[in-house]
Amino acid sequence: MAEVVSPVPGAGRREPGEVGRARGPPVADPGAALSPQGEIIEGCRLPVLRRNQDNEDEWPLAEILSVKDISGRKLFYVHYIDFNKRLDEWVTHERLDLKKIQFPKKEAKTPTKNGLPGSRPGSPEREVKRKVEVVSPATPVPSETAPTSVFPQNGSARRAVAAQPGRKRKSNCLGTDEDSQDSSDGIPSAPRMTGSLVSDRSHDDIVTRMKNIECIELGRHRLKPWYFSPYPQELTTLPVLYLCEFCLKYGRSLKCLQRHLTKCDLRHPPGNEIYRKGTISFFEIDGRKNKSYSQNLCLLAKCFLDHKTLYYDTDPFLFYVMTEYDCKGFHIVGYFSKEKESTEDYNVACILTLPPYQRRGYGKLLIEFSYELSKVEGKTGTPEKPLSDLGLLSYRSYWSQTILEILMGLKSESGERPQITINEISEITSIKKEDVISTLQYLNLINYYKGQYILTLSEDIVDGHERAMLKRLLRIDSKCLHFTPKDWSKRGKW
Amino acid sequence: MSKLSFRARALDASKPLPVFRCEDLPDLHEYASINRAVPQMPTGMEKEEESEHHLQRAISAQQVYGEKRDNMVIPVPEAESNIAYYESIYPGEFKMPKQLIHIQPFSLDAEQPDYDLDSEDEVFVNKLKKKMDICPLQFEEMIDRLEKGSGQQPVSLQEAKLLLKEDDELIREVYEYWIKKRKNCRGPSLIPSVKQEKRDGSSTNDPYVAFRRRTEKMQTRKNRKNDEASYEKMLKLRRDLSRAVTILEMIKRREKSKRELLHLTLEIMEKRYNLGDYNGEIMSEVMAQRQPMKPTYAIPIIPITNSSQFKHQEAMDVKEFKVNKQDKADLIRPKRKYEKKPKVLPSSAAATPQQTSPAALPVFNAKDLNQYDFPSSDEEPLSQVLSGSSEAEEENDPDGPFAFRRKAGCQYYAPHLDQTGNWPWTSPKDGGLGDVRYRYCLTTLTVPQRCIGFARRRVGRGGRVLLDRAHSDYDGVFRHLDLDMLSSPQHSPVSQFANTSETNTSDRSFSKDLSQILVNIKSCRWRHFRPRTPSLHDSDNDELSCRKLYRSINRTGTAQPGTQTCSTSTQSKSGSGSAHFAFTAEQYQQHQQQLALMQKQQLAQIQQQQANSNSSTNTSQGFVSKTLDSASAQFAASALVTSEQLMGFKMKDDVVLGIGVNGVLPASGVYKGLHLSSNTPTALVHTSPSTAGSPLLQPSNMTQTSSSHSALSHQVTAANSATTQVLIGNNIRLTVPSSVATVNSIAPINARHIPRTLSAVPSSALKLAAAANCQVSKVPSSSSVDSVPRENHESEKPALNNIADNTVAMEVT
Repeated sequence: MAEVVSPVPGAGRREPGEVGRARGPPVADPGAALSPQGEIIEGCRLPVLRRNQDNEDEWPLAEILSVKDISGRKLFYVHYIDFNKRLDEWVTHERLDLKKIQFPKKEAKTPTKNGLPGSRPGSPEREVKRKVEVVSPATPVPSETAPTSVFPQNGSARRAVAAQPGRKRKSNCLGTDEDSQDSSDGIPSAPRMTGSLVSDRSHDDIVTRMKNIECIELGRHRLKPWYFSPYPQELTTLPVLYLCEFCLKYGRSLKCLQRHLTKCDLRHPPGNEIYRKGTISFFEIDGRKNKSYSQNLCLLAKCFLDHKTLYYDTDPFLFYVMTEYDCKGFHIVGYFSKEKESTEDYNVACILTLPPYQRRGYGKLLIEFSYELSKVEGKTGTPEKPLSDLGLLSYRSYWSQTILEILMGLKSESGERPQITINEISEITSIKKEDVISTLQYLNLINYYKGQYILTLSEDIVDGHERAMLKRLLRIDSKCLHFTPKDWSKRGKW
Repeated sequence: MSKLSFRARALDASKPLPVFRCEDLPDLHEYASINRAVPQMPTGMEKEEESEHHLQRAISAQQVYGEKRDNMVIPVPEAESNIAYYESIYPGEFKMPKQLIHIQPFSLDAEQPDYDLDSEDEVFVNKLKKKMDICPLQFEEMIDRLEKGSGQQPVSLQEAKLLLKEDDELIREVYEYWIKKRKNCRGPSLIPSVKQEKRDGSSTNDPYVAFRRRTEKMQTRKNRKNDEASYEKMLKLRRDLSRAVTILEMIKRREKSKRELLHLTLEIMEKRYNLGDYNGEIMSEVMAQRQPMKPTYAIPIIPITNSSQFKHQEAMDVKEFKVNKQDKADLIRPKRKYEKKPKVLPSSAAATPQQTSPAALPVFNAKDLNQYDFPSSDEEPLSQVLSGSSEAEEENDPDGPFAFRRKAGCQYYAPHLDQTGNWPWTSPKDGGLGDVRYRYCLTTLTVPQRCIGFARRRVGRGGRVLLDRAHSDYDGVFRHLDLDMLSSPQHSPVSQFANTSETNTSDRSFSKDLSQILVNIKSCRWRHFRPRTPSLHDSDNDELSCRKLYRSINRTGTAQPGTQTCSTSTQSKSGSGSAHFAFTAEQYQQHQQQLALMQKQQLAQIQQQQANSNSSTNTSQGFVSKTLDSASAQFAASALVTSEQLMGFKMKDDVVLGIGVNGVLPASGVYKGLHLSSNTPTALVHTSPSTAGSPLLQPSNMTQTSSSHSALSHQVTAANSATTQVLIGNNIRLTVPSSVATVNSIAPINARHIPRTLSAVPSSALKLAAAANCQVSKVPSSSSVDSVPRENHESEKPALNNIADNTVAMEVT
């Protein structure tokens, strides 16, 4: 779905904002950037000190996205090139390696009028028009080949991906359709209304590229958000945003939270519990019926999902919240959302395990649960794209384990070699055919042998799988699932 | 090799794939080159993210090791899970239900304020708490309402008052605080909320705007026209429903208040029962003390009594009185009301035709007699008070004092549009009452003293009494009637009384000659009206002294509340009670004697009481009585001028003094011979309540007395209908009820119960009397003690003189 939104014209649009932002200042006043003071401005690139998870100091190249002045002290918001945005941070002057600073250069291909110094979009309409007329000719140039390929990470690179043929055949035509509709409507850049993720970042600007919430307190956890989330703007200045653990309502202070807790009697997500085994439960929440919770959940999730969009309301979604029970109540661990009616076989829109619970098997549990639902529905499904890095790893891991489980469980009938079709795998697992194939490929199981395709299980694969399965203790028990799918199309509205 | 020469076919998902172990296929590597024929599937990630350093590292690590290594994971910003105060701020245990949790629809809409109090607010609330009653939740609710009531602009204080249910003082405080806080607040609202889209589309690219409505969806998805229409309908429905909810909310509030009132009333009742307050004394006392604070509604004082009749009658009283107040001018009383209580005064029904004017019956119906007898309570007004909403609405009546107010206990009738001639003097067939009082009678004016022939009295605008004259053949004859003859001393009240009642029914056949007429008149076969003057009073010495005494008592009572007041009120009752009973000659004589005797006794007793009290009081009382007496004398003199108001006033005097016996019911035009044989002793008993009478006063007696009493006063009203003043002096009971509710209910009770309690508990009675007096004085000046209106009247005298000729009060001769 995400790809759908980034067809060629859309990609064209994207450029000016990005480029202008990155290269604007020098265009407007190159002297300032190269001023004798060596002033560090937005768009500069330079190595920035960063400590990796092995506690070693690294000096990865970073781009200055923003500069702020707090009581005379300058802080720089840096994005580490080739690192995920979630690692972007505010750094002090000391961590910058000024010797290797690269000032943003004027890009030859970018017309000067395009290079507005301001990073924020002005009137949307005007900007879009400008983008379209100016940038379209420039689109064919893929970022990789462009002289400035080093820096507009989000911009041209993403465009190139989107424009790549073959990512999804139908997506292209669909996408263009939609886009032409958009422009004919004169509604400039409202994203399409299905799905929950965007890859067309035409709405992306310097504001959404930067984290805006410093810290979120949720129950006994303190979370450092990874991405921008449209919490009320007045709350973004707070050092900590306090969330009610159960209804996810946000408050400005601990006092507010305390007061709220006297009034909030929720001890579990406000929906129907459709699964319970041990301490793990799943709650189903209708995005139309329980707007406030759904919106609060989305706001929270957006902090950790880069491509999630909150542009539209939550009405067409169902939210499945996974909780872990203790004496205080049912604590949210993670969730996934799902379109009530998906035109593209998506069985998951957004999926998230909250950071404190990550890397403990909950993600895979969520994924497993989503496929269990699909099994009940008798459909195959796939997560909405684009996947995040963590999403890809998790899904691949899940797919691999699930498929390997099946393949290794195959018994040979009457002495013959066991065999299975891809469709069968898909039906058994509810994993969409394409995902089965991509997993088989990824695991390098498909081989052409003597005029036919065969699946081969290497020793490594088998060993690795067995080891992984030993660690995978959390499983969904389909007997504990109490779920009746609804035919949402018959309800008229979501 | 041939196997390498052909291209691999496309992977067919529906074709079975044999599964091999690699070790079973040693030659697999030979085929590796064509494996690429299977198209590479996209990862589903954004390309540039796919190339991210940590991901690639993780992927390669996974491929190398088959699973992730700890140091190869994708790093993420840290999260802590060690909030120390977690245990303390999240309340207690939550037990996992056995069943899967199923959320009830609508159970989510707990009406809790969205606003959460912060530390700053807490300081404010704590400070405010010292001054007024407020709790954090209440504060939050208020702020919540204010915030939700505000759009771009904050609500004004006026709007805030409408929004909030609290009292004004609190609203002001909180509003001030809120408006200040809101000004300093960075966000658009104190309740932080996600920015909403703007209609003009300017928010399309605002990253902080989220959860936009999918409005286009409606148009693009299915181009059904009715989609929009039904959407509009739904909106309307929603609006209507929310309105219904509001109304229900209000009903809920009203019913709550009603229940509360009921409970309170019940509680009061129980308390009173426990205290033995069967006749409302304690209640009255309490109410008297509470008087300064004007209650929003009257708490009905229900005398606890066994006599259902007592109550019932009073129930009627209230209604009737109100009706009369309403239609003073034309005294319309629908017939059906008369059917209600024929039994109260059986005498009226039992009265013989000779004694009672039949036409008078409708007027002096049992209920009418009670009309001004003010009840302490009754069921109906009570229920109306309980339903209370009208009272509450009156509180914020924008029309102020001029607004039409429904009185509790009043019945309001739609105008009789079909009847035009429903005046009291028109015949019943025209819809009127055919009231005898409005018949043409022989009439004599006092000044100039002459007989003007047949005339009928009626009450005009402003209470003026008008005379309609009728031509007859005997006009010339009437003019020469010897008035002296009629007013000669030999005409004792006794005969007047006795005869009047007999002649009431006289037909209209006139005798042919003057002497016959005179005879008829003398024998009272013809009614003869003439304005009454004080000089015509041929009251005996006893009565005069009596009058003086009572006056003085009355004044003293007013000036210095005490036993005297009690006796006064008693006296007034007795006076009125005796006044309008029709007596036979013997009865009257007997009564006179008894009266005289009783008055002497009373005088003696009062003197005794005065003697008992300290001397200073005694002297002052004496002094007061003297001065007031002279004042009354002055008044009497002034009363020579006939004016209806003065007449009215005099009447009142008479009533109060009990002299009215002579000239009873001055302005009523016709004397109603309501014979109550059984009442005579009762009346006597009443006149001396402080002596032997009080123990005998049973509720039923009381009722009768009061009913008869009100009959009198009713007549007075009939005569001087528009002038409330006239009623005033008569009895506290009569005056008060018309106005303020609370005072109403209390004053009459005091007046009534005083005599009963006097002998038993004098001290409390004194207090009560005092209370009664206080209350009376609080009633608007028009309805306060006599002295005030008198002055008014005197100042009006000149004006009244002018109209004296045609505006004449009448009395029965």
